Amino acid sequence: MLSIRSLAFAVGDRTILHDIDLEIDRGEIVALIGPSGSGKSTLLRLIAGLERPTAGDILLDGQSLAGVPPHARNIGLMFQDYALFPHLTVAQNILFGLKMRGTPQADKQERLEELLALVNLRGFERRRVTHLSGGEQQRVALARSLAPQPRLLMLDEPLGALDAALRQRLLSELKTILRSLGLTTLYVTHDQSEAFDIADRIAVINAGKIEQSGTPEAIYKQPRTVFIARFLGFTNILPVERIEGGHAVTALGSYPVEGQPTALLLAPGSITLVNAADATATMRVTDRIFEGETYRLRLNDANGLAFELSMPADDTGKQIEVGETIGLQIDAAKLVELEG
Amino acid sequence: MRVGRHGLWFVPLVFLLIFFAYPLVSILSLGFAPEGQLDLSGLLEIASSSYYLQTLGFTLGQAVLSTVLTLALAVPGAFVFTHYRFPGRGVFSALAALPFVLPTVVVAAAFLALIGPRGLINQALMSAFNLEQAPIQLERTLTIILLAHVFYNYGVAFRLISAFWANRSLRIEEAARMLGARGWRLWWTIRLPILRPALIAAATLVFIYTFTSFGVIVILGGPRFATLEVEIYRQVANLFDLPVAAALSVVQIAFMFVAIAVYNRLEKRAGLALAQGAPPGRPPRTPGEWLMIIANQSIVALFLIAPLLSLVARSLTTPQGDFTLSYYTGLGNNLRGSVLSVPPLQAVGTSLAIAVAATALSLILGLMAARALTQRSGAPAWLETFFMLPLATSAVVLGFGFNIALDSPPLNLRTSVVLLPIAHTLVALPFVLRSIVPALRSLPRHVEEAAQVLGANALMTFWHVQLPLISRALAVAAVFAFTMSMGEFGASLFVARPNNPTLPIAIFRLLGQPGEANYGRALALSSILLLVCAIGFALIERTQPDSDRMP
Repeated sequence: MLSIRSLAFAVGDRTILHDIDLEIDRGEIVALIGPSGSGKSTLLRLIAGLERPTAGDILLDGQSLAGVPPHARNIGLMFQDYALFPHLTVAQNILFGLKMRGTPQADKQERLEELLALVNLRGFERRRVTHLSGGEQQRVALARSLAPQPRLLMLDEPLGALDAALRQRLLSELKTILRSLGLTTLYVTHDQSEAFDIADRIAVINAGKIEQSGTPEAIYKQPRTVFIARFLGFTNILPVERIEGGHAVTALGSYPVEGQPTALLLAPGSITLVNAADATATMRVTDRIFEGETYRLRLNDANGLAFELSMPADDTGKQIEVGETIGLQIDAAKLVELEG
Repeated sequence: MRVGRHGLWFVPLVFLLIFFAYPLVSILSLGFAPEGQLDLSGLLEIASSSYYLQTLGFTLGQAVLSTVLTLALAVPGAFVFTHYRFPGRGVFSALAALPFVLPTVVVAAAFLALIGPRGLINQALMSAFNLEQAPIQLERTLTIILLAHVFYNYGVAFRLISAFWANRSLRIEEAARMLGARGWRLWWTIRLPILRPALIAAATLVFIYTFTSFGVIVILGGPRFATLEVEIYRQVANLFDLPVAAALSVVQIAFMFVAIAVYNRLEKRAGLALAQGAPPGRPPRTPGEWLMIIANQSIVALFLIAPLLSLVARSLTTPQGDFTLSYYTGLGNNLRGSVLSVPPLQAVGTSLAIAVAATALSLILGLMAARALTQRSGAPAWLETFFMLPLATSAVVLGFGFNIALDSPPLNLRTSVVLLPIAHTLVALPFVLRSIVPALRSLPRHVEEAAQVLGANALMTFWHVQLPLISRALAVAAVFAFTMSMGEFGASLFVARPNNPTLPIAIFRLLGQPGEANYGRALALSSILLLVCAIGFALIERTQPDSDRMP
């Protein structure tokens, strides 16, 4: 459906994106995640035709989009700031794309009813968009992108401008709408939990390159790089000093590995608390944070390693005090090998 | 599509090259090389002639005096305006800005109607004391010239200074007060130093306007006084000495480019704006404060209103003081032996037609230029400076340039009807751009792209999204272009066809003729022009409640 091949983009001699390859199947929802400044929005702008790639090609339904101006691509793009037309009403905003195509009045009216029902904005037709709340504006923007029945819908941080409570509700609404339409969607966000919630597949972008793509489960279980592990919120990352005969040597002992990892991820469950005598490592507790069901312990050691550990918030957890030194055992079978 | 975009700025560029750069280059080549090769004798003659040095001295001297007087009056006004809240504050601010849109001939006629020999005050004194001669003889004096200049420029200085002042925290003053600064020390150590950038910028702006003063000088000053601008005109119109006029123009152009460059630099550095939000201020507390406010406001208001009221009043009264409409009804007839070969009313029609054409032309060119300037991949950066250049060229120099460049092949437009609309378009274009370009730049991010993604091509995007969103700025630009064209005097004097004068030229000719009938008709025509401009001004103030973009 959408196929991006060796795409690159540079402004002057500053490279924004390099060597991007990405495939999206029909009806699939792909989330593009990455920190701000990683090139996510730029990729959307390239697909929409608002920027021109310096190399590579973008194909939609097997046809190259090179040289096709934005207005002829029929790709929906919902901007982070919504970019609603402030001089038009809700209905005029939603129908803008159909008006540009010269759609007959009766068809437009029918489509308007449909969309208003879909985004739950019946009765808002004549309102000025400047008088709407953030959540309402977001829904107008969505309806406006959907109206011309785009071949591909792209959403740039669609919930970025909203507060946390509203975000959760609108996310599930959005998910329902996208699923019910079966629309091919590219969803950009910097929030991994949002991506996990909505996407069939996730592509992680960092410094202009896609570092990994796969299902949310696959990426969570096997993050490929240190960056991805950190971006997904993992904290317990153990740097590898060197590789010796199939073993990675670290400050906390050596472990058998298959590849050439630069670090090892100690996923939750790979660390257990033990007596100092049986311990692979000892660390000092620097902070204890109460989180309801659990305590989060912050640990560090003489080598400058910093780990975090969750303990059930019962008596065992409470007995561990800040300043205490505790023993840890690492389960070699549960380690994940990470690249640079 | 992309080619089309580039084509957009090509049109105004070519327009300016033909009708602005070409005439300007013609002047320069006539000034530096009258016979075809480099010959600086014309310029040296000016530099060594005491007459021309005196002209230059007077031009500078009157500009400095006008500037000092204007600032001396504007600073207290701005102080009261920014520090206190009182009824009528907004009306005063609007009133102060009104003169800026008034044509020079109207201002000159208004001052004549107030304190000229046939003016209201002299008439009243003559009839009260049975005098044969007008007791106040201010016509053809430096005093009346300075009065008119202050009248003209007060609003510009007032608005610039008070906008700057309102943006600077008044808390600084409170802090200084707490530390013991009072009275004059507060002015010298805090207020004036804080205002310095605005004062210098206002002074530069007033200097620029008065340095190129033309209509006020020729009408109120008479033959005794000549600024460079007036001298250029006389050299061409009376003495037919084009090389000297060109040499004088070179001097004038040099001065203007330096002054405009200085102003632009100041404007950028100080972040000056003429935007006029209502500054905070506090209600006056002591009787002293009330007295100061009332005195300041009423003196300035009187100074600004009196000439305009006299103009209208005198156009409706006979020398004996009786009400009459005869000056207006007489506008339809051609007075025998009159300097005008047509009925004065025809001048109104001519001016309206020219103003409509000039407005349309400057809006079309302005939109093309503004769109190119605001597009990312649109136009080169130097283009914006180039489009603003007509601002740095005085009207008379422009008219003179038309006179020598466009009256012979390859481009002979000497008698063409298009010449005046084109000249007025050049005068209005920088102002149109100053209104439209910021509006386009401040459009919400991404709306243009949103329209494209939704299937609108460049033209549809412009028509359905950008144009409606800048409609206010466009209306302001249109009114500006219209009123400027209606009142344009300096350039028109060169370009207008003698048998088809514009409104300001008709007023000028009538004022130069003896006889009550001519005088009365001049005032009647001036009142009509005043009305047109005042309506335009009211429209601008309405459209832009919080700001305006005067110069």
